[in-house]
Amino acid sequence: MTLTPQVLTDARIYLESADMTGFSNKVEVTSSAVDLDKTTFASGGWNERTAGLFDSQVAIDGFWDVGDLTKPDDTLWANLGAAGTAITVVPTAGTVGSLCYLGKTLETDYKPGAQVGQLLAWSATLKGNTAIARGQILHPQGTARTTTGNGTAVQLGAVLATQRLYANLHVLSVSGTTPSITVAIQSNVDNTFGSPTTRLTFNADTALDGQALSVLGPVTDTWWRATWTISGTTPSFLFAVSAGIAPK
Amino acid sequence: MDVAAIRAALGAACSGITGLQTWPDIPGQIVAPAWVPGEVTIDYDRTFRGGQAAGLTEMVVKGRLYASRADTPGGQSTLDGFLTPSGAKSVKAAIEADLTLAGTVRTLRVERVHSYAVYTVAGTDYYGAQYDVRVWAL
Repeated sequence: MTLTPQVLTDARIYLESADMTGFSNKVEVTSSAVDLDKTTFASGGWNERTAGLFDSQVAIDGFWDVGDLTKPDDTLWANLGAAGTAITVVPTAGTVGSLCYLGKTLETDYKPGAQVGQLLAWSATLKGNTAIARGQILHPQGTARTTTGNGTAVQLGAVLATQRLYANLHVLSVSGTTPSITVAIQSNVDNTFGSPTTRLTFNADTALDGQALSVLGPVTDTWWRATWTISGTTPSFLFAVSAGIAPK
Repeated sequence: MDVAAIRAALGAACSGITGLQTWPDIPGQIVAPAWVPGEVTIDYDRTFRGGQAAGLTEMVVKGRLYASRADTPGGQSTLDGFLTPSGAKSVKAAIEADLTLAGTVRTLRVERVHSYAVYTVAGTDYYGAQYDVRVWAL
């Protein structure tokens, strides 16, 4: 086995409707489990442990900018204390099938500041409000959509009865007259999507937005895709969709 | 980020200071008093890239200010006059008047002056001082 190291230069960070990528320079995803001591006299002289509650956290550092809900200060200020903040972190370029970490979080702190003469910076912490899932990108942020369509099939795997499919939608750019987009997640037994089943549907979006949803297993289908319905006059959307499977 | 354009804009930014000659890069000879943007130090990827060839790039441009040594002691006073942090003669104020350097950078700061000394350019001695101008650009 040989190491293929990854220099972290192009991580993608989607927080609600903001693509934090070009504003950020550090991101850290923490997943943890409480270790519960179950040591007894019969433990042979060693501690024995079992996992208790799982937890997750995403910490981000970056440079301050302001303007609208695509910028860090507007987004982080608006979502401070919001329990349903959707976040997706992609260590690579964010193409379809890229590995990502996604979750619904509570933004617990936002700290803008710097010393005199330095660039105004910020840090933020988002703590898990459900499971954090290790999944894949179903729709890339850089492809503008103007008409109704279906995304590329991605093999995420089946969802067990003890698991959920978690999915995030990040609507990063909206233009047109009365534009509207409704994104859904479908599954199918194979990548032909000959008879797809819609597993969850995000609320219709007419403006910048982020949403986090999940659906309980079991689902025996192993192939998944995003699908979208667009209406309006000359509508155009940039959006990212991520999905992954994790314990419920 | 266009290094040549940034350096040229740094030269142009000081062209309004009365009596100061400016160049867009290091010349073979100078006419003092002179402002010359010169060497650069670049730190790439100060942010994640976001689909661009590089993320936010940070660059320190070394700029040198020269005054004639033949005018002793007036030459040194001439040099000192440009070092003030504000006012019509201030190099710092002239550069920071437009924090985008005519749109070539996202923001900038004239950080410090150092290495106040006698420099030899093309066989001629000048009083000189070095500026560190830090810029951030995409």
